[in-house]
Amino acid sequence: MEARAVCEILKYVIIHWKKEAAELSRKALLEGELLVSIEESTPKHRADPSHYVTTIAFAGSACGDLVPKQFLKGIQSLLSGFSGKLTWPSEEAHCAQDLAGLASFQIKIEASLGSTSINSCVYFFKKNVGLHASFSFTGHIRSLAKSCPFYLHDISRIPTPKEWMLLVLSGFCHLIRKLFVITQYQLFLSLMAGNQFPKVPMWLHKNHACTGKVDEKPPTLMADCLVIKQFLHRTSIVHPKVRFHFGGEVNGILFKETFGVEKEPVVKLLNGIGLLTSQHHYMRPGFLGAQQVCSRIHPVLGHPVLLSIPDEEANMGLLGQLTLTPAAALCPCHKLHPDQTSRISPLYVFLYGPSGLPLIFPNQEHPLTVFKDNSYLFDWKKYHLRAAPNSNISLEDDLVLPDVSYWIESHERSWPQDSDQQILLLFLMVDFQGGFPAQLTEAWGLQSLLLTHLNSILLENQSLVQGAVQTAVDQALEQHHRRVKAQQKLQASIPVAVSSILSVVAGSTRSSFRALCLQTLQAVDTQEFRRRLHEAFQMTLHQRSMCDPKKQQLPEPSSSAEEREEGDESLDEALAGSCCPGEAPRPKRSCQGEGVGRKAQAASWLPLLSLGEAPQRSIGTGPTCSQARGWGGPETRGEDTLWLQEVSNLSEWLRAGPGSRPVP
Amino acid sequence: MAFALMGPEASFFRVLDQHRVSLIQSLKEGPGEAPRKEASSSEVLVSIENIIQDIVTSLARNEAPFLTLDNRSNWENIKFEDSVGLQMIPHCSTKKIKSDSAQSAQRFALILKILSMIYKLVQSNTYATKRDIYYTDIQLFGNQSVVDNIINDISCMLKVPRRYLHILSTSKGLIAGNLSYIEEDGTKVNCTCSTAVAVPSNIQGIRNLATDAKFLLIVEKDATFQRLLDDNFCNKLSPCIIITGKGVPDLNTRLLVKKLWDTFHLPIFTLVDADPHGIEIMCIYKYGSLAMSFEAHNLTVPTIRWLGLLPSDIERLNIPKDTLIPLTKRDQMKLDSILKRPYVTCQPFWKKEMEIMAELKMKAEIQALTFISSDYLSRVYLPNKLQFGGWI
Repeated sequence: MEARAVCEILKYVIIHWKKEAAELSRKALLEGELLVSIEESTPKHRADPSHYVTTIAFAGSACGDLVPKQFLKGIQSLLSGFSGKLTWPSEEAHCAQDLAGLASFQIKIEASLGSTSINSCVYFFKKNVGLHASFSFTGHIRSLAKSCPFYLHDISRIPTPKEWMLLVLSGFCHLIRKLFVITQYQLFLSLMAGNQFPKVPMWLHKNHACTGKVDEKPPTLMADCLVIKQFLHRTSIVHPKVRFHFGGEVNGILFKETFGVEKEPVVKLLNGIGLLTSQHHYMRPGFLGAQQVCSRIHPVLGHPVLLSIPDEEANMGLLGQLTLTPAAALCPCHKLHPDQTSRISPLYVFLYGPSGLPLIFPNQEHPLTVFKDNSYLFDWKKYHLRAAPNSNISLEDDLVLPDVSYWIESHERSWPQDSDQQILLLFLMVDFQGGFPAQLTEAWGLQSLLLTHLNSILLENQSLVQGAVQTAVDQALEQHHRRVKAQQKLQASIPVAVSSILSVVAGSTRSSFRALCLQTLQAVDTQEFRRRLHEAFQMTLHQRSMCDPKKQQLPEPSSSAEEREEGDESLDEALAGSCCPGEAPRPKRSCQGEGVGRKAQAASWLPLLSLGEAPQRSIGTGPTCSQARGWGGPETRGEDTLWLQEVSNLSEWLRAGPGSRPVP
Repeated sequence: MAFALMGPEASFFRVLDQHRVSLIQSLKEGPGEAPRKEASSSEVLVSIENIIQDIVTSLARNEAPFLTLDNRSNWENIKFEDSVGLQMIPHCSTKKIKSDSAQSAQRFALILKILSMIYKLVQSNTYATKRDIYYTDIQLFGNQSVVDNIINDISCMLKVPRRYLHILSTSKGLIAGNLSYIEEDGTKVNCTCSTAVAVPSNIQGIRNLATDAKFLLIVEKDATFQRLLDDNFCNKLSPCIIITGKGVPDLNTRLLVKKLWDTFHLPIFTLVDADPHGIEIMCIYKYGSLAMSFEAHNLTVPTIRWLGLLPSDIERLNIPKDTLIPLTKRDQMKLDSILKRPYVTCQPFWKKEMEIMAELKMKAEIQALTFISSDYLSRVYLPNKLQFGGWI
């Protein structure tokens, strides 16, 4: 299946999620799990190296009642450009007609695009499947890991956790006592055995899978893989609570990657869109300045501007409110090294459409010619800079790639060769609100419609866009300067404090006092004592600048950018100066309370960015499952224990042999 | 004392003498002064060492050190006692000066810096003025008020009066009249000359104080003080002492007033402008200030009386309206704030005067009396008030 088709299906899935989630809360970040795997199709096709299967599996907390017919019709329509063909499971001989209320089904998608054919299977497990007494599965489980192919029919052992890593489910549900749960990229097999049935599979009903076959030549396939990967990465940046797994086997090479890892710092932007703030998404570790201790970006959300839609575009179906909200950040954060000379070198522009989806596909020739005009977004002269377009964007890169990039040079200053570079990141969030609620396919179609007409809309609204962008950038720079200034103050105070302490210790005539001080810092003489003092002060500052785990694990604030009029604090203030290096959180120091009140009062004009929690493993949740629980929390560990217990039970059950197993 | 007596007849001071007797009587009946803790140099040194040791221990634990200071700017930390004035409550709220906060790191460092300087001063038994400290590193301290404030914080933190920190302040106050003393360095000072004498910077070191004065007049402003000198007020109403802190009094002026009260139990009166600012200054002499409430016992003189200029004098003396100044918004706020202070309840006459001012919405400077007559203040207003007990 070509990358574009896969991305379109992914878009469709996310739009569906978003739509469902919006009915509950527009502000909540989307949660879920999505797996895309590419592998050689079946043993019979292995002679043909260009025959691959793309499997898309997804599970979301807000999937709601997915109506399979409509959903698949939607997929069919969006794949019409790729000559797709859908076959309903009822047409298949193996279909389970009725499982006492279970609307299980299988769908086979066959499509042909030149040498490409698609076979996709979508499984649907209805809400109460986990509670239902009779449910089973036949078909086959294929392991993407070559080492452990096995089939359900002849399972004689429990797969090891390693083997579970890349299992993909396909087949039908029509017998009893067996249940499959996809969590992260693991497929757990659990058997219902009386009371041993665990509580966790409550959310099973919200898992969905889709498989497609593909005939492609490996080089094309590799390029497609890069496009899919980049699409997933781009999407994961703004949907931080969705985990995207991309893996498989191409040309005998196994690969796997997960975007949206746990515990990654997140900033909540608006309308249920977040932003991952770890700098590794935006810059390579070797980038000048990447050695900073703070490994986060600190985005500033600008004010949304209502774009006027020219009549011509409105007549083409764009009837409604089109808004653009910029967010700007500098990467890397130089807070802890304020004395370092740095220069803003590249500007990366990331364009997102409604539902937080990339408007432009990676590597796509896009019609947004406005960005070829260097001065469209900025009055560079204001910053004594000049910009030139940078087309050197490579898909090979592991970074999230911008839609538009500029090289920036200073008019006035010549920077030292070794000066650190800072990337100016600009996120442009375009949202569209039509007069009537859009159908799924309409919402999906809006993405391409917007892309087609956005250029002329942006041209029409240049001054508005430029104003909003410049405001956001100004604030990001100001915030940056504030951080640097604060850090300079801290750094400047250390030598004064050190020399004062040393003066008292060295000048004291009380030997016990002197000895105790030196001993406390394990210094043999005053010279070493001075050094130790300095290091200790630096360490306390360093600790303060690192993530405060307590703050990081705060539940998402209910506030969002939409509430900024209420004078909420900016992310910068909410963080209280914390810069997160992306390491494991350190235990909170016994340092006394922070001036929250002061911070809350400060900079009320700054737009609100709230600190959210890192994406968590809560894929789908049943009606009684707490969505707020983090998997790293004690409750989750409890669930893990339950699972381990269940696996252990299962293992015993299998070892006991068929005769000793309970009668189904 | 062998001062030339050119003053009024003895009967002139009859009311004043009665007032003095009543003050001394109330002093005997009162609770008496709380015993003042005198800190020795070694105690100050140990206190500083303890602070340094705590910081080093925090650092060794990888914890950011901080200093805990009493919150000197919070009225909730203040209690009022008629016999003492404004005092800091024993367990008051505190504020933390953290070393790892951009807002307080600089202050933390500066406190340590000044602590280390105090340590050296005490160790070497030398003294320095606040100005000396500021000039050791102008760039670091930024301005004099930063140093002044930190020294007060340290004094409060160590629970030690400033003089025990070996820090002096350059006095701005002036004194004149029937008074002589010997300064710490042995200098004999006689204030009876026609020119004023600067208030000494080491009040603690003054010895052999001598006076026959019947009263001490605190004059708010230097200009009025000089006018009284020019009018030969000290001789005309001899024996008396006049002193000015030139506006808000510095610590030395307050200490000297306190010392004169403690030594001689003289009736003390204030001559301030009939405006909220003048009342505020008078209250500082009498009841102390919020910021220095931790040292109230050494600074306040609750027996001080308000001699003039009273707002009621404006109407009584028929001071021309065009010499009055309308109260500004700031004045109004200040007046409201004073009216809410705890000591106002035990000063009903003061309250009444302030209400008159609020009603008039006008204020008057002492100089307004010159519109009646150029020497009206020294020739008529003050003698009358003193002779007939026109104070409240």
